[in-house]
Amino acid sequence: MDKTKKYMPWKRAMSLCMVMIASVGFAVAGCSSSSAQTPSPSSAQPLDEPNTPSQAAPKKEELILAVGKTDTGVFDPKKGWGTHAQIRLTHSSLLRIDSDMNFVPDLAKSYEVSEDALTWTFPLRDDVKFSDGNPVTAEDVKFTYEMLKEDGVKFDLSFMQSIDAKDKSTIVITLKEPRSTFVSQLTEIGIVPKDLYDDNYSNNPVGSGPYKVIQYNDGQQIIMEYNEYWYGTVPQFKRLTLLLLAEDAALAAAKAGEADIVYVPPTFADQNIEGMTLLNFESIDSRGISMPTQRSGGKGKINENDVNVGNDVTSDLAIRKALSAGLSRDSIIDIALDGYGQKAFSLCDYLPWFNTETVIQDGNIEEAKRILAEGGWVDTDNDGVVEKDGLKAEFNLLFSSSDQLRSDMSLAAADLAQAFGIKINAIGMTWDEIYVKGKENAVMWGGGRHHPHQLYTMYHSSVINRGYENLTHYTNPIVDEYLDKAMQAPTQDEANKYWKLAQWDGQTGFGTLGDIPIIWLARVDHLYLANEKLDVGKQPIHSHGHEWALFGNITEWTWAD
Amino acid sequence: MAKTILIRIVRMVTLIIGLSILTFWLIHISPMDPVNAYVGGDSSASPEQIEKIREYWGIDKSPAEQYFSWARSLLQGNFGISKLYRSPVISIIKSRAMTSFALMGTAWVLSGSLGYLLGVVSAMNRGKPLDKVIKWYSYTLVSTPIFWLGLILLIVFAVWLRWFPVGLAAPAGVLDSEVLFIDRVRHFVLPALTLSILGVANIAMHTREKMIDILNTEYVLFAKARGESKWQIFINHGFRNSIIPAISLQFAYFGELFGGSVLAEQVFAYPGLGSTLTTAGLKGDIPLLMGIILISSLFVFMGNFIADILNMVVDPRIKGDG
Repeated sequence: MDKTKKYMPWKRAMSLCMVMIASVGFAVAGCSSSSAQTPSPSSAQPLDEPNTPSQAAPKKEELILAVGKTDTGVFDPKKGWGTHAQIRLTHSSLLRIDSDMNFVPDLAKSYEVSEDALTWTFPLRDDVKFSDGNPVTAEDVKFTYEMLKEDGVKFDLSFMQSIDAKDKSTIVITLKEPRSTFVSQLTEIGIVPKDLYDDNYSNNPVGSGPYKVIQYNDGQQIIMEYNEYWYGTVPQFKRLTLLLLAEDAALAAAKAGEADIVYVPPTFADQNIEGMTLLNFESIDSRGISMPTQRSGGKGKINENDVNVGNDVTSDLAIRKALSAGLSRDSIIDIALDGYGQKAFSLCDYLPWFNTETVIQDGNIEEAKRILAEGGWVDTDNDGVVEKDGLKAEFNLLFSSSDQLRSDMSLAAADLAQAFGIKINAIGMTWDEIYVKGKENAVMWGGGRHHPHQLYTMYHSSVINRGYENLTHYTNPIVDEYLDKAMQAPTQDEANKYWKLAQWDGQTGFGTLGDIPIIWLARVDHLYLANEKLDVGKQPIHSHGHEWALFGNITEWTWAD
Repeated sequence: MAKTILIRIVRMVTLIIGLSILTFWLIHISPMDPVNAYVGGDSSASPEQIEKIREYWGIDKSPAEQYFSWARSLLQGNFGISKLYRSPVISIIKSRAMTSFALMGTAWVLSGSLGYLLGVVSAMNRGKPLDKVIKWYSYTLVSTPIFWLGLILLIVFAVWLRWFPVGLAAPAGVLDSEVLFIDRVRHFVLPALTLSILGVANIAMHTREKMIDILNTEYVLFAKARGESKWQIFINHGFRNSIIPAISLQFAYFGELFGGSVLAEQVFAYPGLGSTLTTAGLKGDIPLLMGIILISSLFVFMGNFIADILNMVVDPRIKGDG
């Protein structure tokens, strides 16, 4: 009895202390905003939102998104705004890409390419205005392109001869050489106002997109509001807040109910958050193994460095064919991407310029063995690795050691290739080392864009020794001819025809049925955790760079109440 | 006194020159090619474009030339233009420094006063349960990585209890003009707390040792014999003798404080100098990296400098002439 009494004051002090701590906590939370009461389970409204409409409001008009960081180059094309499809919220461009990957009019009413594919003419819409109410004219377009060409750092327009405003609403662009892939840049370059543009444009970004930037807090958030001069479909959401958070912080924000949609890497995809679902979008962000196609002993350049070229094992067609048929792309995707990926057979799977004939049955070990035996590769000394004329089927596969995905994929491929007698030594190093050794060894390579230009730079023989283009030194005159014709084509349909023929024309090509200088393996899915009420419409196949790939169709997004 | 200060300033200038040369040299011998870091592994940049980038970054010149042109413009007060952000380095640093310094300042004051208090209490109660608890607390914290502690606080207070936001320095979707002071405080609490908690351990343990030394001296024994109470002993003998080492230690702690803020800012997506430093380093943005390194080394140097001066002022024995 005495004992309990003695301890009473201590206990009382303790509980008093606890109450005080708790009340301070609640006081801090309570002061911040009106909506900081305990959230009811049905409403997933962010805690931090004094401006969210009350439950009675008919439609949700604000979205909070955390889809990645964008530390650099905000809102200014000269600083790189647009290189990763960022512009759709804030700017408009001559053309845009629709959900089915067609190039459709935006600022330009249509476009016309001359017979020699050198002159491109664009009649412009005359009802488009910047968010400050001034009209978008041909002069603004001319100014934007000339400014970017002169700068030359973020956008490569060096092939452009001239750009002229024929009249107030017609733009004529003349090229130095035919380039059908120019069409993609027309979708990436956001038009800026000539009269307002200066070095300070980032702080005062006036564009003609559906939203205007009303506040940008460096490294924290971007707040955008509907642009009343927008000429397209009126979006449901009148205000967007983009949180510039890294992946872990974005996941925490989703868990705390502070964001409506967040980007997640595959490792976070199995996280269960109440009220949120996983959205999974196919992308064209592809990874594959580049295989030197020349025999060893050659010399060449990567980025102006003198390097050795060629590898006796990878230059044998049977080896490349066996790997393409024998490696199970699904297994690699399961190991490296937790299953969140798609098989890749080319650099352009299921885009309008993809040759569907090149889809093959993969993971076929018997077939791989048969191809090797036919090519003269047999395991004579029973060590599990096949040989031909005393040469073992063994090569190095280099990958960037700072890239978890490429490292996992390389190790998985090496593991799987053992089953049919090819020994791959996966070696991690820095990109700078890879750019020295990459032409005499296989490399875990990558690519994939919303345009076919990379098909030219990865497979045409004329770009050998330029930068790190055509890393495999692939040379096939027939493929070269198709690629040239594709570049010179005046219409996209005709260009697509030749892009497809270059992959496989029935006899040859760089695709899986032909020479396969690069064995494409997987496409990375883009994953988002989104509030289940949010509908992001029909998304096109995503391009490289996940942050802004989502916003191409922002005006179609809806919220189910 | 004036002489000592002058020597210190000369030392500071040489330190900065040495540091800038070292940083430049380290970046130069690192395998990182700024162009590759800039355009990424699978860019579609054309050779002409890469050539332009090289020219733009000035890496077609020799490292010595690059260094001297940088140093020359620095002497004119020009920190250069950040290659990554494409805006003046000094304006980037200005916009980010305030948040960092507010964070570090709060953590510095909190950890200093709380640490000193705990150290004194621990020493005065040496061997008793309270002392053991404080020691246990300090040892645990001193071996805790700061980002881990930050994550724990984040999970408990932001995700589970939802008392504080998960990151950033202001609430989402609210215009600057509408952000209340209390909102900023809410966003400030977790990063500042993370940074403070760790600083406490260091200062507490040092103060404890110092205080125990003092309590073992003969003048304290004499004071006890005269019948002074614990409190009187602390006020009359302990305080002045133990506060000086504590203060110099706390000023010398500037370096660790800065390092800690880099990690804390990463965890809480708090936009300060630390997170900018990381980006600049990884992307090879030399002017920005150099700018932040200079500012932070000045900051650390000033910490030590102030500690020295304070010691001289408070303790006449250090003044001397040498």
